Amino acid sequence: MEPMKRAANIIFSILLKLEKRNLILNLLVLAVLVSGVTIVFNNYHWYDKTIVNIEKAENTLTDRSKASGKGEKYFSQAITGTIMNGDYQGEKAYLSNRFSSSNLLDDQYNPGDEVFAKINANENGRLEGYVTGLKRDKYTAILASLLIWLLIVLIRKKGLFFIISLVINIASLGYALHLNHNGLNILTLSNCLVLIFTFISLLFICGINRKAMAATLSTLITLVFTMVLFQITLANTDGIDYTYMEYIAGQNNLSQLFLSQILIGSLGAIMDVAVTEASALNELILKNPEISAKELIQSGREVGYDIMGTMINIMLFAYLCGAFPLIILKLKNNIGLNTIILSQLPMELYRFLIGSIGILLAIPITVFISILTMKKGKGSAC
Amino acid sequence: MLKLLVLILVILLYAIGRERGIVTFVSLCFNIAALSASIIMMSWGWDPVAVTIMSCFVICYVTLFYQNGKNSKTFSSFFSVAAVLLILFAISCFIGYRSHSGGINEIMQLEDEITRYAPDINIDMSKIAVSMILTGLIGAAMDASIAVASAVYEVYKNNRNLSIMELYQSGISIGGDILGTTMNTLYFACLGESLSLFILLKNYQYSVLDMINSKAFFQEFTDVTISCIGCILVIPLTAISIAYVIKNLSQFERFLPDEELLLELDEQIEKEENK
Repeated sequence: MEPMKRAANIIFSILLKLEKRNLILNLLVLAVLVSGVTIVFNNYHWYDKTIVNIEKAENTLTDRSKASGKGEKYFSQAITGTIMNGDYQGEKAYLSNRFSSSNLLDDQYNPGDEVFAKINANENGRLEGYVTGLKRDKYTAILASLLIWLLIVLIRKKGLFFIISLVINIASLGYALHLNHNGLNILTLSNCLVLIFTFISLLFICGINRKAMAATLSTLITLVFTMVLFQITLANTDGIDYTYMEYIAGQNNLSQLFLSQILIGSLGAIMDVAVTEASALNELILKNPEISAKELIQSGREVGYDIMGTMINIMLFAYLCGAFPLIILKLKNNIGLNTIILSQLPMELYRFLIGSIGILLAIPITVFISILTMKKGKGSAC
Repeated sequence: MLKLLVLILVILLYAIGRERGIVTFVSLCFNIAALSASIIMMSWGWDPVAVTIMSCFVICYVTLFYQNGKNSKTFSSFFSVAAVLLILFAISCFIGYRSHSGGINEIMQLEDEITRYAPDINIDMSKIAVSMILTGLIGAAMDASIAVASAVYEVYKNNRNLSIMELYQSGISIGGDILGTTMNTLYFACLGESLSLFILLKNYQYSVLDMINSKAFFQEFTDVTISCIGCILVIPLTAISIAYVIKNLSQFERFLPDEELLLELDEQIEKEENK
């Protein structure tokens, strides 16, 4: 029990120290975020659509799937709830909904959920209708405020910088999407976006110094190399089949869209590698300005060994987890895993492979660029 | 096309990483195999959440201990990633069930591809949503955790007089440096993946409020946000656990066969005995 006690003591003392130093700041941030979430929880008047707060939901079994013998059950729901906004505010509404036991294409609603609904008064004055969707903004708000709070409490200034760069990046993406909607080419826009993302993110991560310059330059060069490599493989094989790309209904120019996707998707990982390498080499040069280029290459290699495995793992899990529901749906429809991976999943795999190739290319390129830019200006430390 | 890209990746791995590149490739193959195995088990009707937690632990165990050996760094990383997985399991269960974020979203349902398949699968999609979130998280959590652990370890090696509190502080400050770029990796990967979704939402005339309430956006948003929260949480946990472990090495002796500091300790004791 002794080590447990000591561990608890240490954790407690850390908490105590943190609390004392930043209590006011933490409380202030917490107060702002809590009030923000509270507003989102009660923002019924922001919406034109009718919102119903469910009080009672009765499920009745209507059907069992007979064909496949998998035991899927179908239910219909009779929902009673209070209307929260609009002309009928405060009155009772009676809604209907259908769902299946797997919730694959539909949802089962429970008491306490708030849903959007289409409502009509029938001749008896009873308000009836059906559910169109769940009100999810409060969960978005909870998650976003949790993220912001953790960033500010634990990482402080850097966390704040990250939030600012995130907001600027998302705003520029929104503007680009608006321009694209008005007819501008998506690939041209993505190229501009990549430039903006790189400058903004690296500015807020490193500040303005030669480290940031080296990282920016090597990120962009690596991105160009990766794209050239991708185009070469594309030209030398039978190309990509875009049938299984997701969200393509009614979109033209799929090759350009896919190119933009992998451009933006690989950017983050390449930037990560470039920053890590550039700051490691920068430290070395600052500590020992006389260090030779050969030693720098050797150390850059060592750092590269350490980061490449975990970086490739991040890409793997971040990309493949999104495909889970579709893979399971296909497996259950008797399509073999081999077929799915080799011919129906390639979009995720292409993104993952190109991202990984970008990570690997970034290691030597950043070492090279860092040595070029930093050794020259060694007189002027950042 | 796929084969050529894999070939290029393997060649690059070998050219840049040599033996370490091959180790990376082997553990990558293992991770893909583990993911496929867990998906197959889910499709057999096993409980998706239980399967995912199991496979996450196996993946963490293999990635950490096979790639980096059994020492104080990997031991404390494994402990903190496991703790983060359990914490976020609670959060994602709450969010996943309350917000009905499982299943095929309303935008995806409009695609031709979905209509080709029978929806009678009898697997609870809310649970699949939880396992998606947990799987997406472990790569980034392991990365942040290993980086903090090895940095604190280096600090301690260069200055043995630091207290647990000081080691924890240096862990946090190093963690802040790497966190920004790791989170960039995550959210750019997510932005790239969902670029076509955003274009489509714009084409369907969704307003910002409509978008926030749609399942399609919410799925992407929860995935990336919970991964980021995991990355942040893992940093103090790793910092405190590695500081505690290297300050009390003798208690953890039997877990750490490859620990360099323990060997040093043994040598010191031997020297003293010889004197």
